[in-house]
Amino acid sequence: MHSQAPSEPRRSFLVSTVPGTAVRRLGLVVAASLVASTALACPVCGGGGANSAAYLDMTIFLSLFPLSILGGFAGVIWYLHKLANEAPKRPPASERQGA
Amino acid sequence: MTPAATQPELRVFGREPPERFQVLPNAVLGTAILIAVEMMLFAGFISAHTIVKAGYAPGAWPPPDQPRLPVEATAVTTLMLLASGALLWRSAKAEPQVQRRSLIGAIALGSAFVGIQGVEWARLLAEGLTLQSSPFGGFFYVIVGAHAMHAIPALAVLGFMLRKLQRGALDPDVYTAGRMFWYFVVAVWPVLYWLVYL
Repeated sequence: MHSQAPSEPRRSFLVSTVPGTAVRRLGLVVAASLVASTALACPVCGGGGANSAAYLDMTIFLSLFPLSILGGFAGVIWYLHKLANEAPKRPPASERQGA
Repeated sequence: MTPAATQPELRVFGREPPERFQVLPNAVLGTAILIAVEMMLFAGFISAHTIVKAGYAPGAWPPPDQPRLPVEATAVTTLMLLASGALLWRSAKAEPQVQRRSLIGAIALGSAFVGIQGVEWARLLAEGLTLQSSPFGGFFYVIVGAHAMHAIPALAVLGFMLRKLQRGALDPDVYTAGRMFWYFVVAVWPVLYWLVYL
């Protein structure tokens, strides 16, 4: 029977066997995140100003517009169905056959 | 015995099935779906145009070195297009003679709109505004051209409807569907005019 070698402790930036090291490193990460500014990789959505506002507005517009079209469809069909139901009913098929 | 009486009657749990009826004619439903799709196409154009235009400094759109668009002449053609839509709207439930006159009027006004737009396009091309001259020119030709690509087939549909009406063979559902598509062409244009020209 083979005996398994003892597994090494998992190593990462925030895991350490030295007391207090992990806390210090975590503090470093938090401090760095407070100092650093946002990385503006995309000048359209992260650039700020009128362009950014237009991008956000059009995102909202294009998200809601198809939903409003579908809602309009549903509303019209529901209304027409309601009108048809309120119209005088035809006699059942069994009665119409004899006519 | 009628053909319907020969068919076995379907009964579900001892009851008659619910009466089925059509609330929307096929031609109208199909046209409504087409219009919804086309609305999304124009929404995409409007969105792209708005974002690109917002990226320019105030006063830099349209670019100073590009020809000016014919705002006044297009305002007149816009009124012509709106009048053609109003003509069709008024004749929706009128006598066939009135419908015929309205269709002729709508086709004439719509054709004048497309014709004048074509003349303006030729003038703008001659002055240097092309599809590739600037983003302004690109958006102008794509958006206005897309509208023209809808207006011209819609005019052909109106012509088809007029021919059918004169023969007394115009299906009311086709008439409704054709009018719906023309209303779409008419209704979307003022939005495009406001965005692109003003």
